[in-house]
Amino acid sequence: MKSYGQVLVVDDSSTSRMIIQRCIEMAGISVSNYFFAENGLDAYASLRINTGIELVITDINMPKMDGRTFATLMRGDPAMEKIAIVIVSSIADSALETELRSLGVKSVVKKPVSPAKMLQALGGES
Amino acid sequence: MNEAKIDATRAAAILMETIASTFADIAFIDVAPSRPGDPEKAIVAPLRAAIDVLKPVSCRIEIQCPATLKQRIEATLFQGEVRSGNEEDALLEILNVTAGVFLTSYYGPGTDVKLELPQYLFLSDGSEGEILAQAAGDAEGEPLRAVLRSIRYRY
Repeated sequence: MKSYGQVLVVDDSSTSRMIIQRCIEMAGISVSNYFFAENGLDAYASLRINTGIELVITDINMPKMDGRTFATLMRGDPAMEKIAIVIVSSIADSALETELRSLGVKSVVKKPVSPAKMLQALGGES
Repeated sequence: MNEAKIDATRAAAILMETIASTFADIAFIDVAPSRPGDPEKAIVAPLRAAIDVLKPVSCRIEIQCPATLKQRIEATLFQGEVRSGNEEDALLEILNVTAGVFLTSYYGPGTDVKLELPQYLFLSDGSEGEILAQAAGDAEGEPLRAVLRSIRYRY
């Protein structure tokens, strides 16, 4: 089963952050350490401090800095280019997925998230 | 697109379907639609959770329910955890998901959707417009209403 070291979950909803973490655990994906942020701005600051984060799971609709801007910022930063990005959003559809993949996003998960969706999005990564 | 083109019957059906699936998926609570002719249950001490939609149409989506239903959702989701205040946004997250799923279902794939952040409305903010569509249901014994309304922005 896939395992990750450090994962950053970014969502302004504490409920959503908790559900994402639970779904990853229920999917049987092992994560050594979780970090959390409430918006893209705080998440970007967190990535600059915690350089061992290998996966970012982020919502789109957030205050201060949204998920699209955050993902674009990450992809423009050489220090973060290898960090995988997964987007979770209630407005995800095939058109948005195409747009986000062109930004370098690995997967797009439509909310509500479930263990099966998280397994599909994260399970194949080695 | 404008709100005048919203098909109230279709919107109400999609709202109900979306509310039911979102409550089931996130809070494990079954929501059954009220049947035609059923007397509408009054919502005691109603809570209004609202999210404003900027695209593809200006409108507001609300969930109205008793405070006891909000507490039940929080208890289900944060079972066994000490209350920390984190659970307070559980209903708002359900609304956020409901709004996104409703809009992408109603307007179809590829629609540019832009939402404000969900919030509780304790008092009227004076920006409410007319009700465009609504769906009432029963959340395992507790009344629940989803409302789609136009919005008047005041500058």
